[in-house]
Amino acid sequence: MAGELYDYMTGLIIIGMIFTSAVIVVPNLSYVNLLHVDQQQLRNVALETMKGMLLDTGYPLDWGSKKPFSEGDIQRFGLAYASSDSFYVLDPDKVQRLDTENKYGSVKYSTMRDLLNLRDYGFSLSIIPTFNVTTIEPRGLVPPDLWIKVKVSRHDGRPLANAAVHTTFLYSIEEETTGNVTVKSKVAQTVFTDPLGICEVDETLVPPAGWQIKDVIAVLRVTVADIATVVAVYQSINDPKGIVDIWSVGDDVTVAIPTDEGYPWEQPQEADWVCSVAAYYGQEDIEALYSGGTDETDKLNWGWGSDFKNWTRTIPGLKTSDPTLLIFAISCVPKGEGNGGKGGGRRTVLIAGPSPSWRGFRVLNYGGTPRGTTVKVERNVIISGMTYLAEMILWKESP
Amino acid sequence: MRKTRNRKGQMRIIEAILASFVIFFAVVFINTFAVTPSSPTYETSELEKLGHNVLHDLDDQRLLARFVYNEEWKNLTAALTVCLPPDVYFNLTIYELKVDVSEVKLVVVNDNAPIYYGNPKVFETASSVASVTYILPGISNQYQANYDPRILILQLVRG
Repeated sequence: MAGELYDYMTGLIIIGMIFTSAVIVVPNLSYVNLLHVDQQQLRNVALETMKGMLLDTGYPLDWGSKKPFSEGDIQRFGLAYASSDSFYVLDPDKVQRLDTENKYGSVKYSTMRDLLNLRDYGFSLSIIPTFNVTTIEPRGLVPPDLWIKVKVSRHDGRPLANAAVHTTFLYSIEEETTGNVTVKSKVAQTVFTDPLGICEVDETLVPPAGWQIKDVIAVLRVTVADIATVVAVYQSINDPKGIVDIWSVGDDVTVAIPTDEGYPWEQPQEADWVCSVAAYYGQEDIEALYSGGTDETDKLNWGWGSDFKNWTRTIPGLKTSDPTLLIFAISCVPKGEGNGGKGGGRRTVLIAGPSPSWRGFRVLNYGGTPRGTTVKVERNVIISGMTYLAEMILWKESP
Repeated sequence: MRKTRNRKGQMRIIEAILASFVIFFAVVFINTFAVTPSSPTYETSELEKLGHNVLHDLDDQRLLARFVYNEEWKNLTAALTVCLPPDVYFNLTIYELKVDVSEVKLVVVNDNAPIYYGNPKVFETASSVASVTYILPGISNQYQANYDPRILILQLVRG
């Protein structure tokens, strides 16, 4: 009787072991399939989301151009340009609302997830140029002899040969006797990249007699088979963020001195002035939009009691004409200049805007940080007549 | 008598073990026949959408018709290279319609100038290749439009 009991017990243990190992082994055998099911599901969600974002105008149709902007007013999300009858043409105003640093209103990641009904998923969106344009240091932007070395490459780092680099040097000149400032431009000869994707641009600037060159900005329009990307390179400042922020919504242009997160204490206390604004449409197509000066009307300051925190002007037809860049001549005291970084050293600098399009991209890593299994969906889109790559990475958020 | 009962118990255990193995192998066997969803690497429908998006984008900017009708094959190759992701290889064949009295023939236009990126052998060895057909009806200028269709067949594969 006891022996029979031992037999059954042994049998029970063996069956238990087989059951346990089966439970572990069988799902592992199907793991690849389960992974594919998971990825397929993610991809379907990503494709549908991307389609909704890029092909839908959203509601209200002009939600990106509303003044004042409130993300609560958006009833349906979409980035497509309502005035375009073609697919994948995006509204620059709506795209600019994805810049979380936009002080004049942006769409929060959590709001966008709710609008897109993506509560269980996380995503990251970038709208970048179809190829990279970088300048190689050192560069010489000190007049009269200017030179820049440019590298053009694909996103995986492979160089792009035969890319045409069209450079426009914009420079501010000041009359020595009156102090009047005006902005001029000179188009450099088009150069092509070598098999390593590198080329050198050089030019000589000579100011008229009695005038002095105060600042230089190089705008590079790089084309590969007529597909263009535009970036700006500066002489006086590497990143204009610390001096002024520039935003453009509809026909309105706003300039303000950044004052958050430690800026007030680092920012010089002197006022800034908007001396002039020009629109860059192409290397030989630059149009003066506004002529300012150093009067109260064009003044900017950041202090608590200041009445001039923002400089805003409406330029009729700005959105319709859709310039690639806006070039501002700002009379300012750059950070770190004179008096312990708080004063002196006033000069007229040229600044390109709106941010961040002067760097070549429109949106960079909007959303969360990718984790776990992710899928990537890419589409080509057109903003302001230029081709960009819209890239979305989607993943499932753990509950 | 007691010994016989013992053997019966052992046989049941062996039967149970054998049954477990049969079920286990059945699951493994069935698993090999299961239709699995495509992996991202070999997904063709996504590549088809991507290919159509790129051709549409070039067409929208009036570049595609210019490249095709002016036979700017180098420019067309460069444009597709920068517009498609770096891990996507492509092979583009362009056909034109030749109408004879009795028949309509498709003739390859870029026969002498293949438009491709990546190793051409990938298209022969890949298990699945995405294919996009895009039609250009003709070329137009400011004053008139000429009906002269070109059929573009873009093959795509992830490298």
